[in-house]
Amino acid sequence: MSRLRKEQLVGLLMVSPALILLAVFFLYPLVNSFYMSFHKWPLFGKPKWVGLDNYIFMFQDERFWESLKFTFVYTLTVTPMLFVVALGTALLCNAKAWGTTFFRSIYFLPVVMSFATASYVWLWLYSEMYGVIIYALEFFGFGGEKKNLNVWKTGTSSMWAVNAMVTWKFSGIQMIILIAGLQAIRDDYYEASKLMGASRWQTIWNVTLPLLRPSIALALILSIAGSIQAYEQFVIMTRGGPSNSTKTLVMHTVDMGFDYFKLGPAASLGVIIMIILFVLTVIQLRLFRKNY
Amino acid sequence: MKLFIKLFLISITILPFAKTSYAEELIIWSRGGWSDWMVEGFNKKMADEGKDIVAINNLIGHADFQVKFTAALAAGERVDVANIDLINVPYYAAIGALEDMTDFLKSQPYYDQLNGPMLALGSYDGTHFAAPNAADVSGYVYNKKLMPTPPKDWAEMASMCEDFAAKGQLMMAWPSKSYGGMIFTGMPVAWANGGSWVSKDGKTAELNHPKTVEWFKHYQNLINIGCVPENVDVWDWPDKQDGFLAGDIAMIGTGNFMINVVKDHTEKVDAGFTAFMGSDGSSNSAFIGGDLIAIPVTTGAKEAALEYIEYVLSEAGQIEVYTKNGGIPIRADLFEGNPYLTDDHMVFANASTVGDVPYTTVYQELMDPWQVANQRIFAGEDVQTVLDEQNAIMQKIIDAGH
Repeated sequence: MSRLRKEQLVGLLMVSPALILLAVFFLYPLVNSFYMSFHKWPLFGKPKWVGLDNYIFMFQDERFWESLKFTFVYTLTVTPMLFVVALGTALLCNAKAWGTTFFRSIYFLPVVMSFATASYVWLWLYSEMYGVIIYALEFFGFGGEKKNLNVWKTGTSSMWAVNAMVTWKFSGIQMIILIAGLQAIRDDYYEASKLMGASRWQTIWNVTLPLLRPSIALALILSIAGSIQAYEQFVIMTRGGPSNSTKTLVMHTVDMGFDYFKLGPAASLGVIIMIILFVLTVIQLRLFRKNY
Repeated sequence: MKLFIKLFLISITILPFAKTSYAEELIIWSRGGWSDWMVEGFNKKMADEGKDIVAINNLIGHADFQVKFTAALAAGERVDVANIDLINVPYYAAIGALEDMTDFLKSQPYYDQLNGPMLALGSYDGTHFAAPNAADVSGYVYNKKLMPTPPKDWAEMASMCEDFAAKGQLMMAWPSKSYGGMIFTGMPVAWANGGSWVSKDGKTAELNHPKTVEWFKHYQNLINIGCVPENVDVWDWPDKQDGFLAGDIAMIGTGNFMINVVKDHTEKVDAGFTAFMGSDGSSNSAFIGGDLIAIPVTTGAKEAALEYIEYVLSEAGQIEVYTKNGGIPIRADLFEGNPYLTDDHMVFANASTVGDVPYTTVYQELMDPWQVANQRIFAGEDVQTVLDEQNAIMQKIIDAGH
């Protein structure tokens, strides 16, 4: 055996554990979901080929369109919220000043908490009778004279209430990604900008943000992918209500598969979510392509 | 040294596969903590009788049970006994996931004493696939410090509501946001009034039954009077329970488990219990929740499984394990003389004999229109219009089948 061939074999051996894990836990479920989506898939007995029936069933189901619409609205609102807070805290915590390391830790702290725990904590904070947030909001005049504010009253207010929790929970991880990007920008650019008489905002707009593009792309891809797959926060905090107005696509998929036991349509929903994520990620990567 | 290493390696390879005993293992899947005590009691009985059967309890959380059990069935994983949330049993029976238990159950001397609606829920096409096991029964809990005696009928409830509203106090609240909470504590009020949710055979949606409409209008009226939180349409289970335990709400719908919960809140709550009543107070009802016990077709020890179920349904299982730990027996002949059934427990025990539980193979899917109906009506929409719309959706789901 030639030396090159031996090296190739050793290389293959080295990456094989990762390849096996990828094949078992990603590729096989992926291919199987695709296969399932074209079948009537009972818990017992043989699956039956039904062609596009599961997809037609999904597209004719009003619940699918409602959950798809809500998932997009949620993604479009929570992504900028998260990004603006993360960018702000990243710029502040990147300053060479006393205490920035401490604040970085503080802002990052919610990230280590489980999503379910964070959702329950905020649910309590939002409690109509005993919640601190509601008390504070009513103190400042929200809820009118009756003082009967409840953030879950409408689909829109419920979504913003969840958005606030998600921003608190996840802006820390985006902040770290952006800080890493900020620290990779060489000081020369800032010195040149200063020599040319640029203001602080002009420097951020014309130097920092363009050079931060790869980090922004990563942060946004993670945020959008996470938002399209939103589940726990809505299951715990809104239960999809009021009247199904905050039901996400993944909630609908889980309901379809494990509550309604309709595995074929659930698999077709999984494939649809995967296609949406793939298309959105490709678009983002093209938009943020390094073209300077 | 080399020989020693070889022997050591061989032994650590073989030992994990070596059996230390030849007892027959019985794999039990449960979702309630009390099942540990039941298994312990059964294992002790087997040891006392010199039988080589050892039950192993696989305790799975309430939230995960259905997903994991469904996945286990689909994968053909061995499960000998399953304690299943009763509302899902018709579906599992319909798809052939459970073993026939008809002969076993009918041969028991207490067959006629088993809880009727639970027994019916474990049946499909005249065959028994599951037995009643553990009952969670619903009813009202009221705080005697705020409400010395509970209302006897709807008219008195409305009148008391006016008094509470005049004092600026909350009399009642319910969890409109929780579909499970509403079918457990709301629908039985409609049943007590003669209302319906689905027909007995599960083939017709009856959400817009005139007597169910009456109940919705009665609760909507309580909101309008002002003794119920204005935002009750978006209240969840913890909202109303926390309010009750803090002494801010006088009466809520709950389950028999509340008897133990209120013991830790005696400073603000002096609890009394009463059954859900219909409009004139002459009839009562309850939602009979809990678990049915069944043998999945993936069992590897059917005879031992039946032996375990026999123990669960026996006096030892139902009284010394289940009732002792706060449960309501699923055998009516075990109510009288039961040392663990207090007067409070008896409210729920009696309610379980007149209570109900809907029979349908698409229960979970029906929860969707049910929740929407609750939230829209308690937000102030027209009762009849909403119920007609949601009933049509329910019928569509039932017709599509599982």
